[in-house]
Amino acid sequence: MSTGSNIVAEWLRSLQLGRYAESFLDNGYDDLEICKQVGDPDLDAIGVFEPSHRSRLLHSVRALREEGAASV
Amino acid sequence: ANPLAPDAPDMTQFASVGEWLQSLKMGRYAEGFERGGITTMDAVVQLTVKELTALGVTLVGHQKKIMNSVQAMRAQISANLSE
Repeated sequence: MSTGSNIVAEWLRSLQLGRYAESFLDNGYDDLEICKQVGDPDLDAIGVFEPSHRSRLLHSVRALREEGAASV
Repeated sequence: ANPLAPDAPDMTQFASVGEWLQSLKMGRYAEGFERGGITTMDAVVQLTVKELTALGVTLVGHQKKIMNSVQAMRAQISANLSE
């Protein structure tokens, strides 16, 4: 699957976590609405195990929810 | 993606539920589907999100992926019927 123009890939790149883009998309996390629901079980399935990456992602997920952001 | 586009994969071709789940990279749920009685593709096309949770699919991304495929199959089946 191409991750080039996907909004989730863009969001992950903005967090310097672009390496996980393909796995996010493979697991069905392909828009920001669905990424707002990401928690620990989702990260386990996606394969984000590095604690600093997890906390960076969960922090950004919280920001997405609070801002109701539709774009990065 | 348009499920009826000429180059879209034929979702109605899968021989088994396990094979279909594998194609979605969701093979980990094969056992749960089996246990829940979803053993034929006819049963698969009638699935709802609510049932997915009971089958052990609790992650929203996985629910979305599976339901997208179910909906694509439904679209292809009704297109085939009207041919």
